[in-house]
Amino acid sequence: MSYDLLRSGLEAPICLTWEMTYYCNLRCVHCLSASGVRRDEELTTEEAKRLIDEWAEMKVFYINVGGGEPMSRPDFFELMDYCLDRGIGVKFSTNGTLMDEAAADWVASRDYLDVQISLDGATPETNDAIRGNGTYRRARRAMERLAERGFSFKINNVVTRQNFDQLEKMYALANRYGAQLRLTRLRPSGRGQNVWEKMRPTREQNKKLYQWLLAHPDVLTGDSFFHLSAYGQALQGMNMCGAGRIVCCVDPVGEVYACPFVLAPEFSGGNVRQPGGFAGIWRESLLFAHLREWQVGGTCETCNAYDLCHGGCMAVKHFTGRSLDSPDPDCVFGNAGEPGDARQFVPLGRKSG
Amino acid sequence: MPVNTQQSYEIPPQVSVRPERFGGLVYRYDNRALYFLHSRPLVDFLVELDGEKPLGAALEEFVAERGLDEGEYRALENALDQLEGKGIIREL
Ligand code: SF4
Ligand code: SF4
Repeated sequence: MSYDLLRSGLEAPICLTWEMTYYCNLRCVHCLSASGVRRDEELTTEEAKRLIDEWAEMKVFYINVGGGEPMSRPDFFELMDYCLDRGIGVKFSTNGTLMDEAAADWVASRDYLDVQISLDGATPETNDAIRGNGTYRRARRAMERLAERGFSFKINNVVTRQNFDQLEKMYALANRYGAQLRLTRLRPSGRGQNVWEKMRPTREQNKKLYQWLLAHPDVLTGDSFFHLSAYGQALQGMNMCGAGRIVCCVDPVGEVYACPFVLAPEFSGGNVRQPGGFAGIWRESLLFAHLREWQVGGTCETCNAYDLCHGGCMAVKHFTGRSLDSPDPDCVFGNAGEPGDARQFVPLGRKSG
Repeated sequence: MPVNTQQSYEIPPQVSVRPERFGGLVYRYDNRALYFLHSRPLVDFLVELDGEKPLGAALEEFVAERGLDEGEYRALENALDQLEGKGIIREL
């Protein structure tokens, strides 16, 4: 997979995230979208359906649904069925608290539906310190319900310094349910910005994580850790930052961001409510066109691991005040620049109407 | 296993093909696998594949319409062998 292939742009994103609502009944300390309270201007059911129609027309294969807590939307099931009926596969991420018997029945009865339940530790102490009191028990309850129905779900675990030692236990837990473990990188996005320094895995842990991932090819990562491929061997996935190239994110009010971890005005290509809609933004936004052209320069350009790491994650650099042309703060060779040396990313503005 | 050109083939319902400038993308809903195809003629052929005639006849017609040569015909046939192995096309 090379940038060159993607320069001209894909007809539609491969990895499209739709954050359905900013409402959430929890307040996880690392929430990438700083969710909690619903916003008044969130897309209505009808607007959401038009958006889904557009995706179907563009032949979007599947979408990742998140939030906030997507299951809190009263039209959640209706909209998910609307996607599935139009041939769009769905994977939704949930904290599990709203997975009652009826919801579990619904999940188990649908084809091409994946469910990802968030759990950030193998013990209540570790998980609840991040996700809130009682959340471990409630997430496990949701898992039980799905497992009882023979449904194979995914457990999503954001890897932190504090839960790192529980990787094996998380893996065993997933296996016990016939589920798949998915590990995600902690990024300083949303509320994650406040906790990133004290929760990001240490260098030692990152190195172990790389080895652990190589030894556990059945563990999913959503391409989160490609910056660790620079240790020598490519981890599974496309090993590149897909922002605006293969990835994008529609937020609850219809803003189209380059990726779910950069919900900031300078990374918005526009709003689905404007003329041209989602497809217009994906195909014509100047920001996305720029991202497709852009390659990390600076130190990384002469690094012999460049083909494996491509300078790491744009979001992590941006929200730690680094230049996008600097190495990833978790650069395996310790080449990361100091925060604050940033020539900040210059927003290119939107393509207007 | 080579494709059987005497037989008709189709794209199974759980497979979706999307043309792209570099060729196209194929997604299998059942195992969530994504494939990159780097030949636009191959992708166009797949999009038109409707199982109405034997694969060999469909190929010959396609190649004639496009003015493709023998080498390109063989390349398409080889690619179809591989796609069958991946469950992207199947014998009717
Ligand atoms: S210098 Fe850049 S490309 Fe090389 S490993 Fe570090 S972040 Fe990756
Ligand atoms: S900015 Fe980071 S999280 Fe977003 S697509 Fe790029 S590498 Fe992935």
